[in-house]
Amino acid sequence: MSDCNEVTEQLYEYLDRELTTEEVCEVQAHLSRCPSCFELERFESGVIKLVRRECGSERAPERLRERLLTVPRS
Amino acid sequence: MEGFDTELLPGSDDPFFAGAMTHVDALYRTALRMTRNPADAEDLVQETYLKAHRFRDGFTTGTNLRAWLFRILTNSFINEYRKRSRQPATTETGDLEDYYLFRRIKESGEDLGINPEATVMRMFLDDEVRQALEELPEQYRIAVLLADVEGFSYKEIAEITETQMGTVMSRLHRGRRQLQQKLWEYAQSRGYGDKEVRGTA
Repeated sequence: MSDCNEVTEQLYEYLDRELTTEEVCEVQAHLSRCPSCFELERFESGVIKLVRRECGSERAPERLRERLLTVPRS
Repeated sequence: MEGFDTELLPGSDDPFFAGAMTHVDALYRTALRMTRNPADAEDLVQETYLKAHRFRDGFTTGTNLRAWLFRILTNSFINEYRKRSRQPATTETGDLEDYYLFRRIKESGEDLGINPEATVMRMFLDDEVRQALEELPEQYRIAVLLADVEGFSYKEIAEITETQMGTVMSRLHRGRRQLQQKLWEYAQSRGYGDKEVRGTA
C-alpha cells in the first residue's frame, strides 16, 4: 500500500516507465483512490507531453541532409 | 539531380548510412536545443555522422543505433561546443520544490479543471517552452531533452551521457524543477495566478 509521500517520490519514475510492474500497480492503486495525487499525476504527465510536443517536432533542413550525403564513409 | 550518381544515395549501397539517416531529425532538433543556434546545430550533426562513419566498427549491428548516435552527438557537444560557451554545466538553485509549477498554481488558487493534463498543455505561448528549456544549465537540459523529448530510458541516458543512473535521475529532476520554475515565471508575467491584477485590468 502506497501513501501520498511514496507516490510523490516515485511519480517521475512512474511516468518515465522506470518502475517494476509491482510498483506500478501500487502507484495506480493509490492514484485510483487519492484525487489530489491523481490530479498531480495528470498535471505532470501534461508537462512532459507539452515539452515533447513543443521541442520534438522540428525536422532537419534539406540542406543538412544534402551535406550528410557528402560525409566521407570509411 | 541531373548527373547525380544514384548509387551514392543513402540506402542503395550502405545500410549503416541508411539506418543512421532515419535519426537525422531527432539528432538535429536535439543539437538545436544544445547549441541554441541552427548553424552550430548543423555542424554538430555533420560532425556526428563523420564520427559515426569513422567509428562504425565500434557499433555492434543489432544493438541500439539511435542511442549510439546520440552518444556521439552528446560527446561532441560536450567536448567541442561547450568549451566556447561560458555557461555553467549545472547550477545550484537552492531548494527548489518538487512539482514546482503545480504547487504554485495550487497556491494561486487557479483551477486546473477536470483535465489537468490538457489544461497545462494549453497554458503556454509559442516558444515559451523551448525558451525555458534553452535557459536550463547544459547537463540538466541534456537530461530533459533525452528523457522528455526523445523518450530514452534512464539506463540509455546513463550510457549516452557516460554517467551513473543516479546522476541521470538527479539531473532530470533538477532540470524539470528549473524548467517548471521558468514556466511559472512566464505564466506569471502574463498575469496568470494574479487575480487582483486581472480583476482591475
